[in-house]
Amino acid sequence: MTRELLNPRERFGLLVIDEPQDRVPVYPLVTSRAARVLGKTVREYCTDGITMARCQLAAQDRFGHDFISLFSEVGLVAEALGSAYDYPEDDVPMLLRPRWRGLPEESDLSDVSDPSDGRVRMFLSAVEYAWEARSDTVPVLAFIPAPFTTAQQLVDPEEFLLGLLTAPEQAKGLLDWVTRATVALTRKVIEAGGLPVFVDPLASGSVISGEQFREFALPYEAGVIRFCHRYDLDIILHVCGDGGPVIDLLPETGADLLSIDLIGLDRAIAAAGGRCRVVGNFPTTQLWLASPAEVGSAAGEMVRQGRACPKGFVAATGCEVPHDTPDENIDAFVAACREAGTNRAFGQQS
Amino acid sequence: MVVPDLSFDGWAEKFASLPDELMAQHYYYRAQQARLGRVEPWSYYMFPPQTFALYGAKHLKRLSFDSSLAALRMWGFVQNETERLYRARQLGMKVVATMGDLGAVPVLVNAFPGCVPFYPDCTWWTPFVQESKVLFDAATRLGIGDATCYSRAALGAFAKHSYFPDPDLVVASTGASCDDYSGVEQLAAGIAAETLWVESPWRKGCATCGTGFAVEPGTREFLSAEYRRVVERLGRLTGHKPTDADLLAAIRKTNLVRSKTGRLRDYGYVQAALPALEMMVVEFGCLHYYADIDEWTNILDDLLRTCEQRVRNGERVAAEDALRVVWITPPADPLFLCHFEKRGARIVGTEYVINQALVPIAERGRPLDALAGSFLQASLIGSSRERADLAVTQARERGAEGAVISGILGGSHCAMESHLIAGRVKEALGLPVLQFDVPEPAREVNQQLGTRIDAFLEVLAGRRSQTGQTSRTRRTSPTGIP
Amino acid sequence: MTHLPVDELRQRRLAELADLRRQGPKVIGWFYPGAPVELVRAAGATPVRLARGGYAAETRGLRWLRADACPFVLSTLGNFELDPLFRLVDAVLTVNTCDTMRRAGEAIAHEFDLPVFELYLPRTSEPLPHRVAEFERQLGRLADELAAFTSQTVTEERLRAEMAREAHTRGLVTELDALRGEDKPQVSETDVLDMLALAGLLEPEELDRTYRTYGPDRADAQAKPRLLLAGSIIAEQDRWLVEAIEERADIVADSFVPADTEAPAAATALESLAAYHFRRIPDITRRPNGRTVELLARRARERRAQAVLYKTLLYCDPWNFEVPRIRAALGLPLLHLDGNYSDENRGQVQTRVEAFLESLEK
Repeated sequence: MTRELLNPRERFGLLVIDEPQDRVPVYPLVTSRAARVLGKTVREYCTDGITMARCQLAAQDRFGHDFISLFSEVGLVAEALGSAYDYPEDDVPMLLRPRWRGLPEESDLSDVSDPSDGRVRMFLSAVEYAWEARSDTVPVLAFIPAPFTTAQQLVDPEEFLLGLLTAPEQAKGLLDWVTRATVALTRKVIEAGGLPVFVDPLASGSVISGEQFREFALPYEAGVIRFCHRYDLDIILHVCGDGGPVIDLLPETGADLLSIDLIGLDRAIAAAGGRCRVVGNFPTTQLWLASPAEVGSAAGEMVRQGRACPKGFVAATGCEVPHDTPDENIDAFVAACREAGTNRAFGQQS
Repeated sequence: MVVPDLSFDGWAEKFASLPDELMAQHYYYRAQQARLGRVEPWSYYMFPPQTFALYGAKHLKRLSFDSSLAALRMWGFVQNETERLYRARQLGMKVVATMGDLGAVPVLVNAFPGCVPFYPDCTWWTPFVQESKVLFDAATRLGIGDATCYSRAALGAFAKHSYFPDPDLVVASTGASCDDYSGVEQLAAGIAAETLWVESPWRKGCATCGTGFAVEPGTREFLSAEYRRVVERLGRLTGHKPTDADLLAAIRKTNLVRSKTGRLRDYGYVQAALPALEMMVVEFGCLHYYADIDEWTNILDDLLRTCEQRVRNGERVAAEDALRVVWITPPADPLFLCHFEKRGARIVGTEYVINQALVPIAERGRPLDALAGSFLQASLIGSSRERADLAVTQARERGAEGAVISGILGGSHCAMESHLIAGRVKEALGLPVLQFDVPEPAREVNQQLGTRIDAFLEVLAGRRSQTGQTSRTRRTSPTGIP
Repeated sequence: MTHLPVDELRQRRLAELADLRRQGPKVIGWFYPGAPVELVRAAGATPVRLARGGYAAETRGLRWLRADACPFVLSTLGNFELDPLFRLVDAVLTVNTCDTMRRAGEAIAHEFDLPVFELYLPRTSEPLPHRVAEFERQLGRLADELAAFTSQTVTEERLRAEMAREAHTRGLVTELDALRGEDKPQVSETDVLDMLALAGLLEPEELDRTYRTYGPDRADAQAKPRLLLAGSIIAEQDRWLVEAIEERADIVADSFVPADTEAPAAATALESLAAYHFRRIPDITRRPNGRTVELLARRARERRAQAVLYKTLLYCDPWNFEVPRIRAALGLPLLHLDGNYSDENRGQVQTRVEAFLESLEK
């Protein structure tokens, strides 16, 4: 790969202070897919922090994208708060048994000022390792499940969604509690060197309505993002799935960058691009199954459209890169996005 | 009573308990934003080291910090400078890169409304703060390789267009200054849109006069003529023609900073009220005030209040019996200052190649002549002996027990001066001198160098026990503070 | 050209200078082109160039300066103990051509207790009136200092005469240099460097006689690859590389021959002298230095150079930093050799040069 003028950290640094970059940052969400780069199983990747970090570093070396992404799945906080997970050999951890059958009472909610159980320590060690190894040149993103998604994994999912309708205040009590735990974990992540990315897939339009998002997801996303803004951090909020019902609401969370999935890019930019940088949103299935040429062509088109975003654009996939995505497809995506996203005027002084 | 320092993790703890209202009080470009009728969220700056470490400033994790809120405020402000320069451009201000002279030309820039000066020279710390050779590699591709001064990072920064906005004007001072940086300026001129060259005259044959160097009138007039060109060029850039009153007002603002810095030097080096690391940041604030002279002045006031309180309370940041050393030439890696203090030493004086930025500027007579006169007190434009004597004077006054000269392999003035300066210190005061070259960016002080430093401090301790001397009788500083 | 008997002339001149000193006149050493030798002569002193180099002297210099100091300055200090010419001078004249040379004077004064005359030449090269005037003032100051040292006032008439003599000397050098423009150059770089060395040693009239006596004579000249030689100062004991190159190639231009010989006319001699030295090129250390880069490009073009041999001393920042820029400006293959006066890696250097020359021949 030819040497570029800026490294990813420099490029991201310009993006978040509203300055033009040499090209758009390129971000296929290579998360657990990174395990393949070092020949590790997904279980190894998701349960050992050093392995996770080393896989991410190797993936960044291999594909040349612009971010390190430390993420296994959305159960990290829920597991720390008492839900049980299964660890398949070649898939991400799966919810085995939520902590509660129904919405808990307030008396069930214990102190959460120091969430260290489950895989939290593992995760923090991944963050520390990646930070030490590469944070001078590549931003290290640490994915943290947002409160709504976490809450839905602490309670039987159907009971939880029903509870939004039948016992909303009780649901909010749980969400407040989860938010406190999430903030506590976020603080640890920041201190370990990770830039928090909040993921809230279970708050997407694929699961709940826009009104429910406004009442039960938005305030809590805003709470954790507000905490991060105390540190002047630039926060990505990732809500995959159907973004249509929620796109107009997402900027109200205070997120600085919105990572979107199933929604037209032009619509997302129109709704949110004046206030937030847009991250997205190449279809992951297409990345997985199409030919490299098709991927390259479509990615280039996406970037040409995305560059119109007034606040800035990151050329990304809509969600995590599937495990079986061929290397050459990821290469094609990165190459096409770089080419289409190049700013030839950068550094040319008048 | 010794006030303990705060580690990187310690600051994380402390920051977590700070109220939001405190951070909302401190923001930069107040005057400009007042005209706009709003305070932009991006202009707040009181954030902890963790924030900047997350954006690449890894070295902050290795340092020890002063525990005061004033210091936190200072660090947030200083670390925020890159963004501040870009925001200045976004606010419609002109961004002027001043190079080489370390302290004079920004005074002129500040006489023009809507102009902000900065020194690309100060990016020499960036590779160390980031523990990264990115800027050095960029400089190498342009012709400046290893075994040269770390100020070559400035060339890398110009090439990268991402460490500061492309300046509207570069004012490059060269002359009786180091060859490395003169080379950096020459190559940077090939990248910048426009470079105005300014001469830094050679201060020759001036006898030391009191606490300063006697200035030859002809040389001062020459430099004054150079500054006139700068004023004319800035005038064309901004459409503003400053009067002598405008220039004097800028001088007075600068003198306020220099005077407060002088008092802080007293507090830090005489009273041990601030650690060496923060003191170095304070001293270098006199160069371009970290791109906002008004807010920097406020921060200095905050630091002064902290020091005043500490002195009132009988608090110090180092033990009374800490070994006293003067430090000559700023270490590119700030970790060394922390390292020395952790090993039981205390910096009681400095010669950081910026004497010209510390001395007051005369407020009578023609402003440009006055500025020229102050610049002619510069550390590097005269003889090495004169420079050595700046350190010797402080060492003598403050009972220094040793001297440290930190250099850079291949740095031109280091190669020529170090032995001469060491010789002068030994000749004048009979003090042991440790010379070492700051290695390339690393997480920690390497073992070999650590051993040399320990051995040096052992020598100082041994000499002290032989002479039976412990702490010095506290002297009354020029500020009258006991 | 039949080679100039430099060593023989040097020995003879050494004896003459020793005699001269015994009679009273002062001998003042200078180092780098740009020293106003006209002024030294006008003050009744005899200028001699001190540009010996040598590894033994460089090593000796480590007693006073760090190992990462310029080898030329290290060897200069060392030669004040080793070389008879250096030990003979009554004083030295330094010019701040680079910051290292600026500081060298202090080191010399401190270690050898020699009077050092320091001439300040503004490093900024744009000939703005106030800058040239300042330089003229500094020259005037130097003239007064020299006069106090020699007890001989520098008069207008005397200075003009010395400027004419020095212009004639420069003319000889450039006349010799011009002969390198031919297809089969009658003159080698060794000849030009010898001429420059003698110009810094002999009285102008003696140089003229020597030049006329030995005149160009290269009947056996063959067409070989044509090179431009540029870079740091080449001292007398650093010539082995030039000689080795010239067995396989012709060095048809360099960065040592002055571009101009005559000082511009002016109301006073001092004004004229200031105008000449202020604008003198080549000088890579001035800022900006575009005129020097353009000069080298022009020389390469006019002399039909096929490649550049770029020789720098370790830690010589002014020349070392300019490699990419000069490579781009000249648009020719360029071999960069960086080193000190040690001859331990001569074999390696020669191999590199040979490989480079072979690549040109293909």
